[in-house]
Amino acid sequence: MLLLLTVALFAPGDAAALQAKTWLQSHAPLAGAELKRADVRLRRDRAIVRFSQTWRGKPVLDRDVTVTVRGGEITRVNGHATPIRRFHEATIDAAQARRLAAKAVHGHEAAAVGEVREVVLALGDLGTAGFEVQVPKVLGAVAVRIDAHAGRVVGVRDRVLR
Amino acid sequence: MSAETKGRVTGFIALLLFTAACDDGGASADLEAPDAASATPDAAEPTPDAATEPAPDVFVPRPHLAEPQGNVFLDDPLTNEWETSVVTLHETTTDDGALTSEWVNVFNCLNEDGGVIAMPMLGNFQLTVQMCHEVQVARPGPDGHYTHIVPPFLESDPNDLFAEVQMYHHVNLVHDYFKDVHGLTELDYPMTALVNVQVKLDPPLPIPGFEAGPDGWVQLPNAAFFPEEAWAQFAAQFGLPPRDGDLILFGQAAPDFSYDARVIYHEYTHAVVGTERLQAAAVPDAWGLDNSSASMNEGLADYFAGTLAGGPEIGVYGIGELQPNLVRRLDDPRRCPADLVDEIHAQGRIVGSTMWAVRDAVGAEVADAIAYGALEQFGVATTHDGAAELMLAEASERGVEAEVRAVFEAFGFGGCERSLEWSAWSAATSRDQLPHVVEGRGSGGLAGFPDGVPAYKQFFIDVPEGTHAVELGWQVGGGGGAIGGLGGSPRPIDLALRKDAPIQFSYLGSIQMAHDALIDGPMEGSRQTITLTGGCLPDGGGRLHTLWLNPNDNAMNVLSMNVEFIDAGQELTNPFDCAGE
Repeated sequence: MLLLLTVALFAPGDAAALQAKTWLQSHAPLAGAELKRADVRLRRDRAIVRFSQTWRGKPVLDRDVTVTVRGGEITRVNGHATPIRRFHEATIDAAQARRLAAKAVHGHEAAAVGEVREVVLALGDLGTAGFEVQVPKVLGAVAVRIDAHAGRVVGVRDRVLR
Repeated sequence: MSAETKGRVTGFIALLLFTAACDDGGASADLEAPDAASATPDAAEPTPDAATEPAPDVFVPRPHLAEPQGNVFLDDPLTNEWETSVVTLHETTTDDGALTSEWVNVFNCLNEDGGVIAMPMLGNFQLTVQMCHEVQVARPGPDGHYTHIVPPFLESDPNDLFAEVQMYHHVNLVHDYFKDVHGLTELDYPMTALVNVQVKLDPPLPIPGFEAGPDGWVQLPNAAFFPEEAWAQFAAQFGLPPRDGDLILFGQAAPDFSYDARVIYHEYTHAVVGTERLQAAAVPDAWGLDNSSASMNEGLADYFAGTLAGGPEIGVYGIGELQPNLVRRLDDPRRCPADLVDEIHAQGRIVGSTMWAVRDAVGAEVADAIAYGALEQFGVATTHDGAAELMLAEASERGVEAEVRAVFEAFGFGGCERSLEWSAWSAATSRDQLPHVVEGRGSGGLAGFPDGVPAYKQFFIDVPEGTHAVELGWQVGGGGGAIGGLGGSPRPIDLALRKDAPIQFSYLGSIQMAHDALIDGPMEGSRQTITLTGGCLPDGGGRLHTLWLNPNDNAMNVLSMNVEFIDAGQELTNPFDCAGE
């Protein structure tokens, strides 16, 4: 099977980002993962380039890869980005996701929610279409994960750390 | 946030403070603030200079000092025995001496009207939430210093100015540590820090620990880090604009959380970690779910707080005044797998105490560099295993890999088999008084487990040769992570078994769980009891591995466990022989 790696760069890449991209394109087991440059941290002696995994352009939650470049050499690669090879399509839309999230957090579907974005929930090489819905609470904010294939809430994550 | 938005929005505080002031052409509230400061009960007795001050209605600018001084607790009131120290503060970037520097923007949150009000619906009833009123109150004295501001008579004072000075000093200090020592520049902006935070709720909510006082204000016994995006969501319900940058918030309860420097450093370190690293609550792996990613966010926040302060106790005052048993001591070793806990602050003590032991072995400077150097390369779901590899690589570059590796091996940090011996156990009497948690289909954040969501750790039983039967029992509570539970009524959870090898997941091609049997044990009340016999037990004795799986939506807490070896002839409760599995 021909394994393809697609790395999309948002902005003109600096040398470290391009070097990281080139390295990732040629190394298994990341080959085949769709990665998008997320940020570059330039430090005294190194550059750290982070790539987020995407699937059909949508972010895969909890998946990224960091590449450390020092003196023109790739010194470390760290992260989780198993290529998605199976996919469960969405059966609900964003409006339904909003209602599910509102009910999960506030007990009724009409409660106010914030931003909704399409995401991919990943387990190994299985991807599942999903939504992440930001929901304000009385004293905080949470992110609700929706399995858009099964049409159910799969997690509520507190956005506020204590 | 876009540049356009940043230009348009000056934030929550500006809206509150300056809307009225602009009506009179910008006669700034700042001009009145020095009087407000000197009128507070925690200001010291007037100095001789103050006695010669002009009449109160005449504003005389205070000297703007490049190195003003102020009183702070270097650590916290208990460690410092309520003795403050005079320190040199950062120069303010405000003309009037309000406590804003290049790196922090401190606001008091006063118990008075003027704070924003929201009216969210909770189920079928409407709640009114009134925030305290954000104001920068503290100002320098006539000599340009802040030494007239001292701790209030009552630590529960919800409006004291000392909290502002304490916060100002310690946020600047922790910022400079990360910038000067580690080169961090991403937080080179004045992060907002709120002190003395309380709210009013109408009707009052019967939440333990959040009862309203006689004046209606509810104490908030905690501190928190709000990422910029999270605050934007929170503020939107009040009809408020977002802020530029992150926010750290310190509640006012019987203890004032802003008095505890290590709590300040802990929250600030969450901002250092950011929202793109160590965020995954549950990472699936061969053993089930791994919560070490989110727990390292907490544990490294503890580590950097301790190393900067030069002491291993975290929360001596802020936590200890309320629950002394929950003070986190980094010199109290927590190892994997023996000390695995499913609550992230408690689980974070593994990386925290591991790195503290590294610090003891190689010195603070090197240990800090190892921890920070690795942290910068962490991803959203880095676990102990990935962290250990990166830290060892950092240690190798500094010539101390052998020393660090020895510590990691002693603490089980990296390469740990997350399995504990099944024994008689009760959450209520356990060291951390926390239950075992088994996430549900609606709580773990993952989709795709066919047989239920696996627990964070396995348990094994060493079955002696000739054993007739083994009775296993456990009590289930509604989920939520605390003993009391917050997630509804208890529901039964299933138990996977495997003889001689741990239960193992694989995720490529399909989701597979290597196991011998999956037992759906009956529940009586909140208790499940099963008795394993025959084919469930290893032939000739040996190790039997178990793993809970939760087929329910809600997370479930396991509140107690027991195990009993049953002789032949005894009555068996809910026997299973695994025939046909």
